[in-house]
Formats: sequence, structure tokens, C-alpha cells
Amino acid sequence: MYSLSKYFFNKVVLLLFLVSSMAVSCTKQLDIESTEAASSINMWQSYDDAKSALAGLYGLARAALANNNAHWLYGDLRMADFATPRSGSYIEAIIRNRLNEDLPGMEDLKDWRRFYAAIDACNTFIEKSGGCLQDTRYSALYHKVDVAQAHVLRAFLYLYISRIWGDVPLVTSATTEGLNTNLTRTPQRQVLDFCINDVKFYLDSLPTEYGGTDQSKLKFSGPYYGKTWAQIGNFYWGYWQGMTVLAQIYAWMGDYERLEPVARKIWDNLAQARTQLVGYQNATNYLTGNNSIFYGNGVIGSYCYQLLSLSYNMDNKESGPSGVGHMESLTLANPYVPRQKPDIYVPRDTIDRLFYSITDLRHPYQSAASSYQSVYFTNYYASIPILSKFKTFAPAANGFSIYGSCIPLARAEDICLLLAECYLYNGTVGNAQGFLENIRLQRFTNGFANNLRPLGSGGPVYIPTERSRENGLLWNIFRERRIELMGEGYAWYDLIRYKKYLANDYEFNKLVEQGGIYWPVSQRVLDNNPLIEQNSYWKR
Amino acid sequence: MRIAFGIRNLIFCQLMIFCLVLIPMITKSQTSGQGNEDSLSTSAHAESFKASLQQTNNQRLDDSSGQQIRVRLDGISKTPLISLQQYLKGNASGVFVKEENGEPGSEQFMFIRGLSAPLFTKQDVYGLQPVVYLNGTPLTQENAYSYYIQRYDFNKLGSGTNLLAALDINNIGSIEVLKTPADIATLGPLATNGAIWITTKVAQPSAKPVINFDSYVGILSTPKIRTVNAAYENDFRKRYYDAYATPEQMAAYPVYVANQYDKNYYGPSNWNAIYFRSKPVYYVGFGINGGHDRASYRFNISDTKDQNFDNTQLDRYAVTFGMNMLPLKWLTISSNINAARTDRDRNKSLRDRFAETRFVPDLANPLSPNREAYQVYLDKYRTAIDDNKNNAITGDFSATANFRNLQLKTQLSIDYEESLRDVFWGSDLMDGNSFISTYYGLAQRTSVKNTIRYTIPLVNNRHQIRLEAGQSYLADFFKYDYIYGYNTPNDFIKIKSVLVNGSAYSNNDNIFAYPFSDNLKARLLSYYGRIGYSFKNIFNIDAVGRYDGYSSFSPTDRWLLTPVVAARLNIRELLPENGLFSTLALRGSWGTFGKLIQDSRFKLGPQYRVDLGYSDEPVIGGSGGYSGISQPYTFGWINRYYNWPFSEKLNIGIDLGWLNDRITLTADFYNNKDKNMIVPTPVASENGFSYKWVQGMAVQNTGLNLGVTADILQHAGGLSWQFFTNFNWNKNKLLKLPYDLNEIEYGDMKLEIGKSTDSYWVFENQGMIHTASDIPAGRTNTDGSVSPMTFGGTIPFSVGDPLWTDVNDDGVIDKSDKVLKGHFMPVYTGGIGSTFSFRNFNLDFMFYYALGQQLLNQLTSTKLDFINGENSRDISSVKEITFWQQTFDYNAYPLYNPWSGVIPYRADQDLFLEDAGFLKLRYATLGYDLASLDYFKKKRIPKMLVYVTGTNLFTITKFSGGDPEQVNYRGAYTGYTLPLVTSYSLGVKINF
Repeated sequence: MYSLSKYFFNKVVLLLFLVSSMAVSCTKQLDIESTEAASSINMWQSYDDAKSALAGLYGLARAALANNNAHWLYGDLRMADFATPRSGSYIEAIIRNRLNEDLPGMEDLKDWRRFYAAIDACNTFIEKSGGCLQDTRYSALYHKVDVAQAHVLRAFLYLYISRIWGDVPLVTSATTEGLNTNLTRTPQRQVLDFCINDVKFYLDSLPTEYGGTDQSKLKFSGPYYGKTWAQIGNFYWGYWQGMTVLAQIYAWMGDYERLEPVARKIWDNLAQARTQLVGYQNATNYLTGNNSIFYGNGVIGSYCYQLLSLSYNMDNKESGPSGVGHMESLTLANPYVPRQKPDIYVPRDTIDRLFYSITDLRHPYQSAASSYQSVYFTNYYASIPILSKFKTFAPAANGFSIYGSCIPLARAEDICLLLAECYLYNGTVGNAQGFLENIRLQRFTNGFANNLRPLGSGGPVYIPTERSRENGLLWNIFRERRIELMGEGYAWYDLIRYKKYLANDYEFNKLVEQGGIYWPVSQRVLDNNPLIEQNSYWKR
Repeated sequence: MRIAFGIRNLIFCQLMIFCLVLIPMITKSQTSGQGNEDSLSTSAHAESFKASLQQTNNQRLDDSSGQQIRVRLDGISKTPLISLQQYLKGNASGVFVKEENGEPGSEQFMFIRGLSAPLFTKQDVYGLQPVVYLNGTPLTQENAYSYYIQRYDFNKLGSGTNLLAALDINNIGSIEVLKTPADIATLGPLATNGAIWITTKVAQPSAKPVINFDSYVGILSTPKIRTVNAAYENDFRKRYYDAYATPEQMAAYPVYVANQYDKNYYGPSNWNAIYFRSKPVYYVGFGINGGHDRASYRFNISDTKDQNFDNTQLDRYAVTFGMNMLPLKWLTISSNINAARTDRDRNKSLRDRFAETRFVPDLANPLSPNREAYQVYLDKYRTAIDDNKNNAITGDFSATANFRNLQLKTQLSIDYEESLRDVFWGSDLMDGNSFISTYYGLAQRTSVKNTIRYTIPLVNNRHQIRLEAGQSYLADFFKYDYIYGYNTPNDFIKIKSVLVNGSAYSNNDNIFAYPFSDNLKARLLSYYGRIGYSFKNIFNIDAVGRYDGYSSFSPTDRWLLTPVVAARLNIRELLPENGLFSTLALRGSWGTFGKLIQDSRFKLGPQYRVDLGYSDEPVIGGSGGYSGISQPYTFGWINRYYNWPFSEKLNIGIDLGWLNDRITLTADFYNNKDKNMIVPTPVASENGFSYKWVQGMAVQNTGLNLGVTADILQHAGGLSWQFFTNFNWNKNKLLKLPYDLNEIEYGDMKLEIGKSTDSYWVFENQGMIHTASDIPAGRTNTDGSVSPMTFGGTIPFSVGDPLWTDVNDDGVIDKSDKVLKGHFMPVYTGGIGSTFSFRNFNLDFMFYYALGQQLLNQLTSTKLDFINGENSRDISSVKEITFWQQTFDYNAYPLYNPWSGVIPYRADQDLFLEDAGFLKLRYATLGYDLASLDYFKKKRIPKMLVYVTGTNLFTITKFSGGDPEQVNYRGAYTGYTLPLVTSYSLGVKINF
């Protein structure tokens, strides 16, 4: 027995030795590579880091505009053509400009954090993406182009939030460890000037198109991040997108002098921008079809009709079953999706007031079929007509709320009508009329000042009528915008520009002066940063 | 590669240890085993065998724990309960069990000694769960990481089956609740939230194999409810429309309420005949137990069926096998394997279905309360598939070598749990589309633990010094694959179809699917050393030093050194014999324990991940066809370093016994301070981040656990009465926030230093504005005039609005006027029970109570706030079939204007705060042992117990709306869950 114990004690010594050796090897066990996130130390080192981060910028910007359908709730509802069947809802409150209400859903719309997330991502990209140059696959030219995109996207985001909140804090450097604590509102004018300069400076670092044949001096041709132009469309923003952002900044400022050359340059180079007006041949399909110009990246044939947009790549399942982030989730109902009523609709009398030609391709009555058809509108004679312009279901959605339409930000028609405004402003009425007729010609509507013959000399003539001329040229330009760009998030900003142009509406002027055209800032924003003050109009 | 090498190294070492133990065992057993082969186990050998088994299973500082940590199981084992949480509810001192849902196998949560951290999200609840040990094997714990891809947090992704519903009570020998520093000193950070120590029935050596058979069958009693139809709804709404509606609002009166000729809504409301259809529950278990004085085994197999209404059920098949061997006198080898498969049929609620499909359809028309119409709806489930299966296997192998004063033990354990869910909802249910999803998730915990103990007796055992060292390694692995999609080719073909066009194949445009996959690993490596001293049986003191390393903290900060000290003074030994007390001992222990975190993201520091979603679509990960990454703006800023949060625990206890311990009392006072915890703090929104995650929160829980047992009557063969009770009091307080903040807000929740972390944050009601003169004065304008009181500074109050207290007296009602009030965790909990026996009869019963907590009646709030509910596509306003019952008296609430912009019936006001205290008769069971009858005596059947049991027999509560226990993790009563049902069962327990 004793011998056994001795034998055993020897083993104990050995065992303790083994245990301690195991302990050493185990310490290494605590190093576990994370699969779902990358430490910032390992970020900004490769081509793929730049690729993912760049995609992230557009994704965050899209999330900011898509969250709670913000793009349309901000842009299309206030004092505009839409009505809602949901009385007492926050949608009704927005339509009536009662933005102070605390209804569920409203708080999110007053919070600018998501915009600043996208802005911070742009700032971070601008500062850090240089690190990726250590990967030889990431060339200096790629880097130059990518950084320029971050600048243009950031400028756009600042324009966007300036339109919503007026004076906003201008943050141009990336968030660091300590997080910024001393941010105050910057005067809007200063923010917009910063954006203008930034865009102008970086325009020449942008190609005219991605993944195809670049017409700029950069000669940035060939696949971009492994994709061709047909796959990309205008998903990544190039030179002409930068110009469009610039045009929109000037338009918001009401600065027609500076807007005119920019818009004119875009208009004159639509071919290089690989876009064009939607022609009458395709107006029905392209504007209202399941595969309309709003679907996916907007590429049809060799044109991309989304001059500026934040789009969803449907092959990559970038759209989900809530439908939120697409106009359809607000406007569609039976018979397209099983819902009794849409969230918003254009009432019948508004439709009647807006449309002036029975031959209009967008009119609820389709003269080609001699009946009311489901084109721009459906169920025209029901108490709640459906705006069916947007009905881009995902391939397998089958009546289910997975939509593929983009967040539209600009297209050639927008530029065309902005030019009409510019020419009216500087007194070249003929040009202004001409640009208005450019759109009317393609929609088979009665001209404003000219007899329109879209099909040539043999075809029908659309002569100016009392209705197609009512209220004068300016009103008609804006009427055309309301019809053509309906549901694309323009209405509110157009209304402000229209009222500012006329400057004869006392009530509205007061609203503009007192800052009532802006949104109140959410309580959360105010709580988190005591230096931010509530917009004066909503402080009452 | 490095990791693979490490694991290989580890396994090699482990094998070496086994070899060291096994080789002498094999050589020796050849010689020593033979002589004893036939001597069977009635001998003293067997008794010592049993004793040695029990000793080796013990992990505590055994000299210094309380006497009443063992959970009483006799009554529970005769009750048709299926999960560990249910076994413990009201039955174990210091444990509070939250059983929100009566649905069989659904998740339940436990909290030991209060809430050691606030519950910001449902994920936090998982981080506070105690660890459960089964024969020394730490069972894997649910990880909440899949909530990050969920749009709604009602159910966890996957089968959602409670992992602890796999434990069959008839296999359990004992359950102990470990909560003091002394109890958990050697278990370490894994047990910081407390530990449940389960030992399966020990294989008992006996002359001939003992066979046991257990079974019960029970029925559920249908709850009595008052069903209503649209006429009731019409009466209810009409009051508001009459009082406040504008013609425009009047016109928007919902058709299903207005149309009295619609027999679907105005017909008989008898849906309950289908919904509350009762089905039997049953259990059949069979076990065999045998062996001799050197080896024993135990085998048990059982099938359990639990049911609830709405056709929900859980099937459980459980097998367990255990064996112990004593191949050498100084060596014990044990192995246990427990396996279980559960299969769950889930409810058919709209809410849970919409949450899974991530799609809330038009909610204008609710389900019809009519039986036939409801059946038509249920028939739509004919093509549906909803399979929820869990497979669990737990195994351990341990070897203990006892040589004189030296004990060496090694244990290798594996727990593997997988969860599978397959769902298909056909076109009838999905508005013409269809939904399909598949989930596979696994949770795996592997652990190795080695201990060495050495006892040094001095001066004839008057003094004793104990030395112990231990080392353990634990590896957790979680993983899931989940895919959901829409639009299968039809209701029968559920795979993507391929088009054949000539010789070309192409994918058809059906099934729009979203795949997800994630995994998570965590490892914990621990060392401890212990030194103990005892003087006779009078005084013990033990000190433990621990050194723990955890992989989920920053690499430079992942090791933590913590101390534990425990002492016990047996005063009884110092008093004269035959004194008043038969037991009198004072205990005290203090220690610091590291706290684990579930999330692995903090260890990385500032990081980049996919965060392109938004509130309705949280999981969009791509942009432009590529996955896009960014800093985690939505989650919040993550600092560079995070080290261990820790818990400082103090426990002072006293054990008393009178009359030879016929009456015993154990009281434990505790003070636990959980410190350095990570908390989301506010940051300026202009940084883009939602929060910043900072360490430095501290929460204190102080309380008392009291247990009493009394053998009031003790007559062998005559009447005996054993009384037992436990009482628990807990007080929770937030001690500290980072950056010396005094308060933080997170969503609809607020924390304030000095207040408890389980409070509701509500407006205080003062009544209603009946006339214009009731409108309180608001801000004073610059011109001296006074505006009426406003809500949020902008909406003036008007007639029909509620009067809320303007706490800060600024003329504006906003969230700064909300106050922290009440508790969602009970302040007092406990159980009171008794066992009576008379001859061969016995009667057990047990009451369970929880007092001092409130609930927020969200169900009533939603019903009263029907205007906003009707207008939203918010999932919380979905009307289930159970909508058609009367759950509250609308006349008891003020008649506010439901259209008002102040949202008069908002849930966050004390109007909906109700006392949720309750007392329940948890079970009563009456048994008779037939074994004493001559017939069975002749057959030599030692036990044949027949019993009847009633479970959840009644509830006493002030809350009239339902069962106050069925609130969610933050105390909201939503009325969506199935009841904790009253059942009656009949059972037998036979040994032969």
C-alpha cells in the first residue's frame, strides 16, 4: 500500500506539471477572432475595406431617408397634394403642418441622428480611406474618386437636412474617441456655401460614369469594384450627380443666376450623363410599370433614368417585407396589396384641378383605351383613388409588400423644369415655354404656348387650351412638376420655391420668416446636446 | 491554426490526466475486484460508496454554507410541471421566477437575489440568468445575440423552447440554490448571477435492480371569461364618439363596429369553445437502478406531454443514464448522460406570426368572435408547417482519486443543445403570398475542471488545515443559420423552381429569401486556490483567491484577481449540552466575483460592422450589391477598453434549530453591489451615434432570505405535520452611473441614482379637465398674459384631456414631469407549504406569493387608445381572437378625448399602474401509498403511491384584468399570452 502511495505522489508531481503546462496553452485560447465585426485597428487596410465602407456610405444615407419613409413624409406631404384617410394619425398632422404633435412615429422624423451617422461615415471615409492605398489593388485614382464621392454625398446630406431643419451643425471631421460635445448650429447659408465649394472642388475628381467609358479627364473606365455600368447605373455618384447636387443646392437657395449654367450644362450633356427624358413611347411603362425607371438602379437599355437617387439592389435583397423605404408602402392598397386604404392618396378633386389634358398619358382616363385605366392612378372613381405610379414589386413579391423602387432625388424632367424656371426668372420667356413644352410634348398634353406635334407633322396636334394656360407660365411650370414628379419627394420644396418666387402670400411668408417651414428638432436631440436650440417657430 | 493547436494541446493534457488515473485503476482492479464480486450492497461498503459519491459532487465551501439551500421536491414531483423554473417558483429561497406565458415549453426567466442590472432590452434578461449545473456540468445558457436580426423581441428566433424544460423531475435527486459568496467561491464568474446545482438521482447500489414507474395524467380546466362581440365594442366606443367626435371623425367610425347587420361581428361570440379546448397532459417514466458495492447504474426513460389552450403542446422524450464505479478503493469514476428531445406546437396568435414574417398587414378588420368564422380562420392553417424541435445532450465524465488526505478530481463535461424551427404559412394566411423559414441554432458548452485538495490534520484532528487548488476551462460556442423567404411556387412546393427553356435552365422568379448566419465564441479560464482552517467543529474559515480570464473583454484587461472569505462559528458547540438550541451557528462570507458579458463586441474596441438598416428593416446589410460596413451608429460608440464588471457580495447568516432540529430557521442577510457595469450613455446626436457604451454603473441589491421548517406533529403511523416556509425581501438601488451622471434615459426607460432600477417612468394622473376653467395655467408670456398649460410645450390642453402633475412647475407637461414609480420586480416573495401524513395518506400543499410590485396595464391602455391603434400599423395594436372578451370595466376609467394630441390614454401614466401582488395556491396533492396493503406486501412492492393533484388552484389578487404574474420582462401586462392554467391530475409512483 505504501509503495502505491509513493508511486502515486510521483505522479502527482508530474500531473501538476502537466496542469501548469496546459494553463499556458489555454491562455492563448482566450484570443478569439470575431467574425461579425472588424476592429477599427484592422480597418482601412485593403481594397475591400474601401469597397465595403463606400457601399456603407450610400447605405447609411439611404437608411436616413428611408427610415419611417422620411423622404416622402418630409417632401411630399406638407400643405401639398396628398390627403390621408387616417384621421388623427401623424400623417395627417404633417399634412396640416402640425409638426409639434407628439404622435407615435413623429419623434423619429424630428431626429437628425441618422443623417449625422451618414455624414460621420463620409467624414471618416475622407480622413481614413487613404490607409487602403497600402493595398496595391486600391489605386490612387480609385481613392481620389471615392473620396470625391464622399464629399458630394456629404454635401447632399447637408443640403437635405438644411431643407428640413434650417440651421444645422456643420460637422466636417470624423468622430473620435471622445465624441464631439461642443457642436452648435451653423447658419444655413454658411452650411450651403461650404457644400457648394466642396462639390465644386471635387467635381473634377469624378468620372462621368462608373464601370463604363468615362468621358472625363480622369479616364476612369472599365469595371468599377468589379461591376459594369449596367449593374451600377447611377448607384455611385459621379460628375453629373455632383452637378445635380449643385443644381439642387442653388434651387433650394432660389439662386437662379447660379442655377441656370449648372442646369444648362447638365441638360446639354444628358447623353454623357447617360440619361434622357422619358419619351412618350415608354411613358406608361417607364413611369408606372412594374419595372419602371424607379425600379432598382433605374437602368433601362443604355440609359439610367435615375439621374440622382438612392437605390436598392434587388438581386442583393436590399429591400425588406415591411415595405418601408419605398413610396409604395404609403400609397398602395387594394387591388395591389391587401390593404383597405393607403396611408396617403391624391383626392379626386386635386387630380381634376391638376390635370388639364384628357390626352395626358398620366391622366386617370387613358384616351388610347377610351376608359379609366390603372396607370398613374387606380380606382379613380372610388372615394380614395390609389396613386399607382409606384408599383415596383420585387420579382417574387406577388402582391406582397417587398418593393424595388428607389428613393428618387432627381431626373432629367426635374432639370428640364428647373431650367424653365430659370429662363422665366431671367426674362427669356420663350426659352421657359420651350422647356415646359419639352415635357408636355412627351406626355401628349396640350401645349402652353405652342401647338405640339409629338408624332411629327402627320400626327395629332395638341394645341394650347384655356386649361393648359390657366394661371400663367410660372404656375404651369410648377403644375407640371406636381404632376410629373408626383410622389418623388419634391412637392414641399417646390412649394417653398414657388411661394418665395412670387413672394405675395402673406401667411406663407410669415411661415418662412418665422422658420415654420422647418421641422422641430426632437427632444432627444435637444437633451443630448444642450447647445442645440429648438427651431424658434416651434418654441412658442 | 494557433487555436487548433491549443485545443489539441488541451485534449492531450486531459488524456494524460485520465491515463494517470486509469492505468493504476486497471492494473489494480484485476487483483482486488475478485474477492468482493458477490457481496452485494447491503453492506457498509455500499454506504460509504454513497457517501463518497455525495462528497465528490460537492463544490461549495461546505463548512460554511447555510443549512437550507436544498429545494423541497416531494410536492413538486407530484405536480404536472415540466421546467426547472417551475420547480423552483416559490419553492426556493432567494429565487424569483418569471413565468409570463403558460404556453408549454416557452421561455421562463429566473432572477436570484434581485435585479443586478437594469433591463434596457430583452437581451439583458439573458445576461442575468443564473447558471445551472447538472452533476457538476455547467449547462449552456441561452445567448441573445440573434435578437440583433429581429424586428420584434416577443420571442427568440428559432424554436424558442426553454432549454431547462428538458429536465425531468423524476431524475432529479436534489436541487440546491447557491447564492452566497461561500456557495459560489469555487464556481467563479459563471455563478455570479447565482447557481442552481442539480444532482440527478444517484445510482443506488442494491441487491436486485429496483425498477420504478411514474405516471400521471391530467386535464386542464377551462378558464371562465366573458366573451363579447361588436355590440360591446360599439357601446364602449359610442361614449367617446358621442362626447368628442367631429363629423369627420364620426364618418371614420370603423365598419365592423358600426354594422349591426354583420353577423360575423354582431353574431354570437363563442370563439372560446374552440380556443379553450382542453386536452390531457400526461407523463410516463420508467427507471431501473442497480449495481453492487463497487459499481452502480441508473437508467431512466420518460415521455411527457404538456398542453395548453390554442392547441399548444410540448412533447418531451428524455433519457438518462448514469453510472458510478469504484474500481479501486481510492478511485471513483462517474459518468452521466442526459438526453432530451422536445417538440413544441406553438400558438396561433397573429402577433407572433407577424413578428416572424416581419410584416404587419392591414389591421382594419379583426378576427370575428364567431365560432364558425374562427374555425374558417383556423382551417387556413391546414397547409401550415410550424415545427419546433430541440435536441439536448449533456454528458460528463469524472474521476476522483482519494488517497488519505489527498483528493484529486477531474471532470470533463459537454452540453450540446440544438434548436430547429421550420415554418411555412400558406397563401390563405399570407394574403396570397406565402412565408417560409428555417432555423438551425446550436449552443454548446465544453468544460474541463480539475481540483486537488489536501487536508492536514493537526493535534489529533483538533485543528485542520485544508488546501485546495482548482483550474477550469470553459468554451462556449453559439451558432445559427436562419433563412426566411416569401412566395414559394405554391402551398405544396416549397423549393425554388427552375425554368427549362429548351436546353437552358434558369431560376424562376419565386421565393424572395433572406439568409442569415452568425456565430459567437467565448472562453473562460479560471484558477483558484483555497486555504481553510478549522478548529474542532467550532470554527471554520476559508479564503479563496481566484484568477479568471475571459475572452470577451479587451485583450489587455481580460484577467481578474478576486478574493473570497468565508467563516462559520458554531456557537452551539460552546454552549452546554441540552440547551435551548439544537443548532446555533453564525455564518459570514464576503467576496468579489467577476461578471461575464454575453456580447462579444466590446472586446474589439472601436469597430466596423454592418449597420445599414433602419427601424422597420433592421437587417438590410447590402448597398449597391455589396455588403456595406460602417461604425456601429445604431448600437452606439464602443470604447477602446472594457474590463471586468464585478460583483461585491456580502452575506451574513444564522442557522437556528430547536428541539433536536424539529424546528429550524435559516436567515441570510445579503448586500450585493454590482459595479463597473457597461451602460449606454447619451451622446450628442450630431456625432451620429445613438449612445456611447461606458463602464461605471453600479447597482445594489440588499435583502433577506428566510427559511423555516417545523415538524409540528410527529407521530409514527399517526398524524404528522411538517410546515415549511420561505420569505424573501429585496431592495434594489442604482448607486452610480458613469461620468457622475445623475440619470440616463434609454428609450422609454429612465434610471436615476438612488432609485430602484425596476421602476416605471410615468406621468401622474390628477384627474380630468372637465371644463375650460379646469385647464391649468401654463407659461407666462412676455406681455404678462398666461397661456394655458401645454403638452410638450406646443399642444395646449383642452377639455377632455387628462390632468397630469406638472412636477417641475414650468407650465409644460413633458417627460421631465414623468416620475419613477413602483417596481416591476416584487419586493417580497415566498412560499408557504405543509406536508401532512396520516397512516398511508399524505397531503402536500404550497402557496406562493409575490408582493410589492406593480404592473403596467398595457392591454387596457391599448383598448382605450383605440383611435391611435386603429390608425397605426403598430404590431402592439394587433387584435387577437382574445380581443373579444371583457378584460376591464371601461366605466372605471375617465372619459378622455381619445383624439387629443396629448394621447390621453398613453400607457406611460400611473392610471395604468396597478398593484400586481398576488397569492396563489400553487398545488395541493393528496396521496395514498398502497404498498402497505397485504396484496402488495406479498408481492414485495416497497412503494405504490397513488395521488391526485390540483395545480394553480386559485389566485388572490387586487388585479382584476387577469393573472398579475403574466407580465413581460418590464412589467407590462399585454394579455397576449396563454394562461397559467388550473389543472387536475391523477398519478402513481411505483417501485418494485
